[in-house]
Amino acid sequence: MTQTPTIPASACFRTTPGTLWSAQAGGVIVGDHVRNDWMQLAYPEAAVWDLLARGRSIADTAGRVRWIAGLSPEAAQTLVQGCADRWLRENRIRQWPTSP
Amino acid sequence: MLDDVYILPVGSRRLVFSPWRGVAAVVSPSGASALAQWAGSLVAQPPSAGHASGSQPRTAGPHHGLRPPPELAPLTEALACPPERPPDHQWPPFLGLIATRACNMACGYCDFGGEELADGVMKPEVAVGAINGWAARIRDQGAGELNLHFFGGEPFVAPDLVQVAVHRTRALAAEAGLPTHFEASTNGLLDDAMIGFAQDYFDVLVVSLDGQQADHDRHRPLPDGMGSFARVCRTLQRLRDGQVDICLRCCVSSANVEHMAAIAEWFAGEFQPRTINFEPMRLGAGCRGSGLTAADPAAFARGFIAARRVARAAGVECTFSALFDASREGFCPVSRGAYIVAPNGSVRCCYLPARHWRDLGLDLEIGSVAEDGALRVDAAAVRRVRQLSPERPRCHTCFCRAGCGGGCLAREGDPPDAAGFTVFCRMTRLIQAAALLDDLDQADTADTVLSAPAALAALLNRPDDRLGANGP
Repeated sequence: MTQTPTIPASACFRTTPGTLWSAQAGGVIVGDHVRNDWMQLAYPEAAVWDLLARGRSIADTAGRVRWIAGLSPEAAQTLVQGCADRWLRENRIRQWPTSP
Repeated sequence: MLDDVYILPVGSRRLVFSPWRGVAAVVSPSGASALAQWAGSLVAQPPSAGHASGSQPRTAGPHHGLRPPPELAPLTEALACPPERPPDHQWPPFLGLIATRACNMACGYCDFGGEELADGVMKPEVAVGAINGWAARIRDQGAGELNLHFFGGEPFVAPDLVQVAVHRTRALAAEAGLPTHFEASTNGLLDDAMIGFAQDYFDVLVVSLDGQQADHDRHRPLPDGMGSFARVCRTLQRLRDGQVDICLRCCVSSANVEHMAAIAEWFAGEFQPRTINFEPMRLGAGCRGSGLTAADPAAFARGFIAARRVARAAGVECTFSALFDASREGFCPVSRGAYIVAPNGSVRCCYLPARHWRDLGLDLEIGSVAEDGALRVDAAAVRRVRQLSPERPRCHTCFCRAGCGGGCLAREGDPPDAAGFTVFCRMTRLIQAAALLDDLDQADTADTVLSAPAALAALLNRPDDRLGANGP
């Protein structure tokens, strides 16, 4: 069994071409209108999406999500890493070389 | 006497105004006399239980007083109805976060610096503690909304704090099934990232813009002395195409007071704001050395009314903080019992730096966010602070009381005149009277009130506006 390598804490992301998202009451909605593939994200994942999609690094995002979700720093890091990993696999975000 | 019905000389006519009954009318002097006689004949009755305006005496119907002249019957019928004050929908009405007192502008009239600058940016644990306690309070009331306002300094120089606070509030709102409202007062120097964030999450941005380039840059330079106009306009052009409502706030000094109508026309055409807000520059410590001077009260009032007409023609509402608004009593967050958290975690009802009110011997502090993150608000302190506004003697007989609520407690700098009115009172009285006349399609009379010396003096030197207090 191979283990997915941990994404570095300094990694930043952008949404993939075709991915649209918008804030709505209770969270965000993310999707691809070509594939007609939509997902609704509630909190705290909604905040993770918002911050990553705006180009924040994993570390920056975890530092904020800790307060937004009332998590320990470790739990926030795990949450953000997990979200980023999943959305990378789903081709909703892609890694970006530098933080803006 | 009906204590909340006012009558004012407006040229050769009389303006009748009862704010909480929604009554405004122009009558002749003889009509005013008849109205005063009718009002004096009414029998006051105790307030009825459960009425929102329990502190206001209800009056008997017209059949219990003198029969008014037939032409005044619609007016007396309306005045015989009990006043309806806006209910306190929720308390506190909003949570304010002073993200930081730091700012990336160097406005000529700003006096927000001082000791609170040293507190830096609010820590996230302070913001989250305040939001948690406040949201629990609103949730426990069973209704309402999470209404969060950001103040400064410039709140968007602390983007991390703003983002954490907005998302924490949204998360709690989702849990409790409550709507949210996000609002910020900003200088407009937002970077692209924060413009995007504001467009996605904010309902209202109050952006300071003091006119076209020359006026704005004179008032609001950058710290390096260069103008900020181009950058603020760029922000506004980007925000214009989004969902966020823009309120343009224009501070008026002697430098731009004569340009108010042109400013309103340009604002409305260029940025399509929801509202344009004009406020007079106050002569504070920040003005020293800047060469800026306050606008003449009558010139400000004339400029405001001219700007209001221009803006209305373009479909934009023009506001002045003390102008009567049926949705609220007064404009000051102090009288409304708002929770406003300073960067150091102290909770007060006022967003101004503490020295502004402490120097006047006032204590507007109501609590704190403790080190463990708990929001502690002293209900007795809130009651005490909320009672401060109506205690001003000069307000009790002034027709502007319902709109200005006594004005700003922390900026009582200018001394009252013989009639008990400050400079701010005088401009408020002129604006309120002229705005009511405009709304009654009496623009010519409004112009007389604003410009004829005798009419101005009659309105400004009146010590008691209540119906029957001064004769017709």
